[in-house]
Amino acid sequence: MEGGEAGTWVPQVIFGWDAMWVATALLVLTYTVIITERVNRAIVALIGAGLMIQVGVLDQAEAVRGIDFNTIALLTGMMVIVAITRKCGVFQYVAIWSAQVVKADPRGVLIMLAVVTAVFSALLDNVTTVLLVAPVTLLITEELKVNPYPVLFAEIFASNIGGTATLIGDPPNIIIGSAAGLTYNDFVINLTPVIVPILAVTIAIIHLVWRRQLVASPEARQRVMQFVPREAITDRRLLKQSLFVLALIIVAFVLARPLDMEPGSIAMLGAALLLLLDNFWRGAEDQSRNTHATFGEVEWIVIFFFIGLFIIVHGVDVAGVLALLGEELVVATKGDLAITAIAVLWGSAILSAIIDNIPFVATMIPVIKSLAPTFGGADALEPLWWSLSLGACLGGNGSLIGASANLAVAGFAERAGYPIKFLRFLLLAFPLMLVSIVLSTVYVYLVLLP
Amino acid sequence: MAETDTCATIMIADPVTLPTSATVDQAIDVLLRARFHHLPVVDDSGRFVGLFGVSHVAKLLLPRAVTMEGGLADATFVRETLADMSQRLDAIKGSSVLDLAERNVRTVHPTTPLIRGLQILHKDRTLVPVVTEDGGRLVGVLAFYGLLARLKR
Repeated sequence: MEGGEAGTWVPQVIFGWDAMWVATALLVLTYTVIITERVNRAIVALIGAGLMIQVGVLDQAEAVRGIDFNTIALLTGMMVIVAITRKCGVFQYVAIWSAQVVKADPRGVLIMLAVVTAVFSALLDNVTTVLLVAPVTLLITEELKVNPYPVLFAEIFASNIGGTATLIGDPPNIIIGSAAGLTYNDFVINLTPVIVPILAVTIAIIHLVWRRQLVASPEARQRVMQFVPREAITDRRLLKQSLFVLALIIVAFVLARPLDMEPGSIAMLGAALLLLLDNFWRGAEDQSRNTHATFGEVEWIVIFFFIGLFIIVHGVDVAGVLALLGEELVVATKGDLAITAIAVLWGSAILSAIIDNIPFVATMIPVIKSLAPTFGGADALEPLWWSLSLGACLGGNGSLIGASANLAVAGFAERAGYPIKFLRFLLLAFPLMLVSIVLSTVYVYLVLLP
Repeated sequence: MAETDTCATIMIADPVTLPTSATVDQAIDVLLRARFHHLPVVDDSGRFVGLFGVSHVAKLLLPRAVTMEGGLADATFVRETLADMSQRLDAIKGSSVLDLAERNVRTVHPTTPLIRGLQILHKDRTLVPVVTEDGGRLVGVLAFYGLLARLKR
């Protein structure tokens, strides 16, 4: 983690226990409980972090050093921006417009909504995107009298693929970018060229699989064509303000390096500006209520999960576990950068399909950092960061539990009466995810590796 | 100790009910006749099964994307006509009330203190079924009309 290089701190574990074993046990225990989903993951992470301090692997000051506040600020800032922006109805507007562009042909609707989801996921965060696009999807498919399952399936894939393209699109990228000092532009330049063909191939396969079921009568299509997209915009002033601030922060992300600004500061300043624009014309009481409501929409579970996770991983790092893992990785890949990059890509993809990709990436970052001396310095690690990003983000498509966006859509589909079953999803999703990893492998090997 | 009234004091005994075999169409007729927003659905042995009423019918007349939790908060962009709703009603007329009744309903016993019954009535803004403690047989309902009528008497 950026704030948490294992430095001079020496663990002083109770009873003289070995720090490496204690930290490993706490990490494994925490991840095991997270996987069981018996207890909320934020609670588990905070308890794990607390224990890491109480047993003496870390003290409080060292634990705070482990928290990557750039990531926390970026996540929180973007959540505030999205919480305000979503109120103006712009997501619904674009979704309806895109369905009408293809004359409400269900096959075209699948393609367009997947593309819209991918683009929004790249610019915002993918969980919010799917939660905003899914209700419009349901409405459109209800009117077309077609099963929404294929479209929701495509949106899950598109959200994870689109999110891979940028620094802010998917939480693993936020952590990787912050820890490795990679900018918004770095992500766009290095990942977008492979994300576009992956998205195209994925949508084409999904389209092929379900094309026979995606048929609607002219009357049903006419009903969708009668929607009035501009009436989806519920607050025009807020729309202008939101688009202005979004454009401003994207420009700032692009110019972050020359301006010497960190993404966390940009997102937080953007959030503060949008809060100001959304509130300054209100009375004091209304401002309090509105600001409170906006902050209430920040996903604090995610934020506290990250905080706990950073501390746990920092504990494991200072105990020397991750450096040891790095050494083992070098031995296994014979110190070859290409083999290591491919191993990281495939390992991340398979593991991210099985477990939550956020803790996995948080753990892998110090491991990859420890490889710098082997490969000739921090700059030489760049292909490994891209492999980790591609593997972790795209791997999340491999199963229903692989990424937060998948679970968000599954929850929505269940409530809508179209449950997405784990096995049914897996049967198509896992091979489809492998296709994206094969394409990524070719790209990493031919383009990203020196 | 001071006496306290119970729900039995103000409940409407022998209320209008819907049988589990009723269709949506039949239920709408009963609702219109009884002029109640909601009615209890009971099985053959008089056991309370759930509530069905105008809000459930209204939900069926709208697209699911609009009425579900996490759905569209505003769908004014949809051009909806009475004919569209009528078409949806035709599609669900034959559905069973048993399948659509709301099961997760708070009930009270005849011996439940009056204040508790009124609190639930105020909070849930519908009628509150009064059921027996043994087996949940419906013995009455708490409703605002019943309460006001009792107070005016």
